[in-house]
Amino acid sequence: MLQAKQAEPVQEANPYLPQSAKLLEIKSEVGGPRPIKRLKIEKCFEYRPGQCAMLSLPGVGEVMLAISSSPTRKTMEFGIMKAGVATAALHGLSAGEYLGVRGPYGNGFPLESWRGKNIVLIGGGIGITPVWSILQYVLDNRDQYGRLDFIYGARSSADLCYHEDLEQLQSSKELSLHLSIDVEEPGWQGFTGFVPQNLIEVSPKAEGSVAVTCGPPIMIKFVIKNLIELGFQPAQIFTTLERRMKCGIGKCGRCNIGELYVCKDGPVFSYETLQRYPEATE
Amino acid sequence: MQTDEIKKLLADKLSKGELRAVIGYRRGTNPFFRRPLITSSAEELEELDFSPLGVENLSTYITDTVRKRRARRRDPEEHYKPTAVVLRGCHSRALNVLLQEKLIPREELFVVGLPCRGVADPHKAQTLWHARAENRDHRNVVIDEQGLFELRNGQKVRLADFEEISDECHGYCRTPNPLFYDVLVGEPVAEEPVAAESQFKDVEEFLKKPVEERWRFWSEQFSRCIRCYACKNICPACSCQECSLAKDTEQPLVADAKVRKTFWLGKQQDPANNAAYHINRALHLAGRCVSCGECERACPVGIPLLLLYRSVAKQVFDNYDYEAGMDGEAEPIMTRFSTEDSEDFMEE
Amino acid sequence: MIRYIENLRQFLDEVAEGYKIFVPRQRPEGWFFEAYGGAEVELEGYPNTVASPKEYLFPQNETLYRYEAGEEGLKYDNETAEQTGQVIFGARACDCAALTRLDQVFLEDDKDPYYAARRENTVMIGLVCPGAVAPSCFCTEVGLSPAGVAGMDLRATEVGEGLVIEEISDRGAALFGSPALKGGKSWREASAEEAAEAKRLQEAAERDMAPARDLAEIELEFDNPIWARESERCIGCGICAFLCPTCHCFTIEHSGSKRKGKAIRTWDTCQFQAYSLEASGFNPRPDREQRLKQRLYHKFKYFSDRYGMLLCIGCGRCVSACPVNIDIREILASFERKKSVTS
Repeated sequence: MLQAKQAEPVQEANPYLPQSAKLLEIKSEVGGPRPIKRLKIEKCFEYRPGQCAMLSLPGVGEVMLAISSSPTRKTMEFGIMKAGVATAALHGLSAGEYLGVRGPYGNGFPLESWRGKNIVLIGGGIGITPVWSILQYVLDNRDQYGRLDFIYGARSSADLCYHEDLEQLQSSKELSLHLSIDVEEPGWQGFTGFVPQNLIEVSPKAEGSVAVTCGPPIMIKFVIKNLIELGFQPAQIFTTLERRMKCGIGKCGRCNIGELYVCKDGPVFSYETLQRYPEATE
Repeated sequence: MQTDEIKKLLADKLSKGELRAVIGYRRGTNPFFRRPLITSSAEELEELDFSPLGVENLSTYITDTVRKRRARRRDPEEHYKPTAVVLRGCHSRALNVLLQEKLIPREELFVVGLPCRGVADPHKAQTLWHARAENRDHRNVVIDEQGLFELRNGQKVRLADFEEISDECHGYCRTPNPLFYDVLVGEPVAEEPVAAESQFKDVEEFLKKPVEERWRFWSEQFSRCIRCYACKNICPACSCQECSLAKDTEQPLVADAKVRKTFWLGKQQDPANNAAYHINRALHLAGRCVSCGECERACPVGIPLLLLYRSVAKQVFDNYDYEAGMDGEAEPIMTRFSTEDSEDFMEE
Repeated sequence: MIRYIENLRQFLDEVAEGYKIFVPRQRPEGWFFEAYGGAEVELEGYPNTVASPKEYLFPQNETLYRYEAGEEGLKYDNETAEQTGQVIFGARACDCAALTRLDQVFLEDDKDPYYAARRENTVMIGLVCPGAVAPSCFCTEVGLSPAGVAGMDLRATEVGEGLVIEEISDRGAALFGSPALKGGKSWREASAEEAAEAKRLQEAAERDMAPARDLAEIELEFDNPIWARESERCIGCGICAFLCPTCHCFTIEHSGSKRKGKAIRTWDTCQFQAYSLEASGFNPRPDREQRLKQRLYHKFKYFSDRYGMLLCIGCGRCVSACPVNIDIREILASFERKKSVTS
């Protein structure tokens, strides 16, 4: 068995190996110094809402992103803010080009255990991307869930993501949309103020509900505070965390919070879990 | 001043709020060199130690803790309080380099000058200990100005004279006394330092070898490098907020600076990248390295870095009659030119 | 079978017919593992190597895959993995135990095929320590032993002029069944006295290192002032992590163009400031204090919470190599024992 052999290609499955995926559509959502683009790529694998994928840009690197679409849809969608080299390369792609994808990674949202409950989604800015997958999933399985409230805000109306979809959803009877912008703007019909304040305005009832919040850390801090005030238990509150990642499979050690790896044990965590980790609350 | 008086003076200044912190040496768990002490507690100052085992170039902490913290606005009220630092001669040269480059104002330093009659080379001392000690327990190690001793039944038994364990820097030291200070520990060294023209004898032999042989030597040495960056991080002259040779290891000062877009080197530890790292760093230190030797002491795989940096220092001296850090007011050699500069290196 | 090797060189020469061999050798800079190359192996005064043997299973650089852009998309190919058998002779018990820790990470879910291939093809011949081989050794304080067998395939004990060799794993036994060694020219069965002497030496080594405390029992405190105090002098290099036999953090970088290139894995360390730095500029561990805490917690709590064993194996390399004398044994001494759990 252990004789000198020629070097051969590794036979076993290589978890680091991406697969080639075609970029179907790329659309600008938000402009400005930190632009956000929406990318649709061909669906390469099955996944659950809340799971993530590593997008690989040849010659540049990889970045772990929340899959913004629900698995009930035909394509895989990502909402990407340009921040570093990998996201900048993603922003530079055109439809028809190819990139690498591997996944799905992470735990995803426990949607099965949420059946019959009211779903309260609270997002800010780019934080819409993970909760969007829940929204689409619930809409596609509408009779399995109770109320669906989506509380979403951004700095200004130009900073709201997925605004075309939001416009369509305004008139839907399937959910209640509560949009907000931080600062006064002429012609704005919705709430003016920060998302946590809007949450108090909406005042969703805690009983029989779960709340999911994603967005800037400061927003999450106050949203959670307000949810507790509204009577939500820590076990009813969920968020997604992010950390810099490289392997995505819990081996490179980088994304840890305590003994948990955000890539593998997260990115979805209940507030009840997070309270046990001093490192998580920044 | 005697060491007790100095300890009292510093403790006094600390308690009165006149000092931000004191950077010196103290005993640690390694008997072959002293541990840096960085403290703002007057009680911890009791541990302050001035033995020949205090080898670290403490001016490296000036750039690290004092300068970088100021840049991040860590303690606004403490902004202008001086930091006390213990410096041997070569270490004061290193601080001169920082002063020349306007990295820290002189007023923010309270220098405790330490005249140096030689330091113990931790590697030599440890090797001789292993070879000659009866009972290798580290608790029995005693090193002072007289040499290396083993404590046997409470008695000091000499294992080696100080000469045997002393660092070779003695052979090329240009500054046995600190070049500047606010207070001096003990008596200054009376002997003349090594003359400028004869300070590079240790590298002359090597530099006489043909370039192919020298390249082979360095290629073999660099191939063993594990890119831990200890040499760079412990060096006081390596004070760049964002090192172009190790961008992936340090956070840029300004969050929006996407400096990691351009890498000068690959992160891979291979002969090409390793050689590029070391050669570039040696050139960046031209006219700035004071031969304190910390890089070589810190290197876990024993690359003879001093030989590399002193080779560059010799070229600076031969071409420009300049020695790093000898004058804190002088303009740094590599940031100026003069029409009288030597052009010998240019070939027809 | 318990075997005896009278002449180590003869044995290694036979093994070399089928395997690459790495042995400890003394250089002016210290002891390092090197390719055997046929020269005599002098074990007199051998403590432990400066760098651990983890590089033979988890190299500092390793290509993970290659890519090439084409008309129909990107082509991704596995890298060829070194499948030549290799023997690491003279690894200490602590370094062999370190492999059981790396196994937890690399061989669980989403098995790492490169590590797996090397592990499969490596025979660890561990060498029993005479006791503590360096002043910074503390393997017994983390529940290991200088004569331990975790992670080992064969255990060698210096008895008389040669070595007593005990089989620890099937892989170790299989080495003696390989064509090169089957003839039994460089080894024979050990006598009862030789085997007994080996056992005696192993027990003496353990007694020599009877631990003063059990580091699995201490309770670390997140807000203890020691983190700030000890990290103050840290220079933020990678010596502790890169020399450590169990540190396994890595980064993956692309080398090449948009059209063609490869992804390379390289060692990284949580001690570098930019390790967890996100593109937004946010860094969950911006200060050395937090990074030192992360290192200690990972070794003494996070890893054991996840895998049921301490990540530190007590070799003491980080202690002796730290240029500013940050000593984890000293830091750990500040913490109290956990309150015992009543069942």
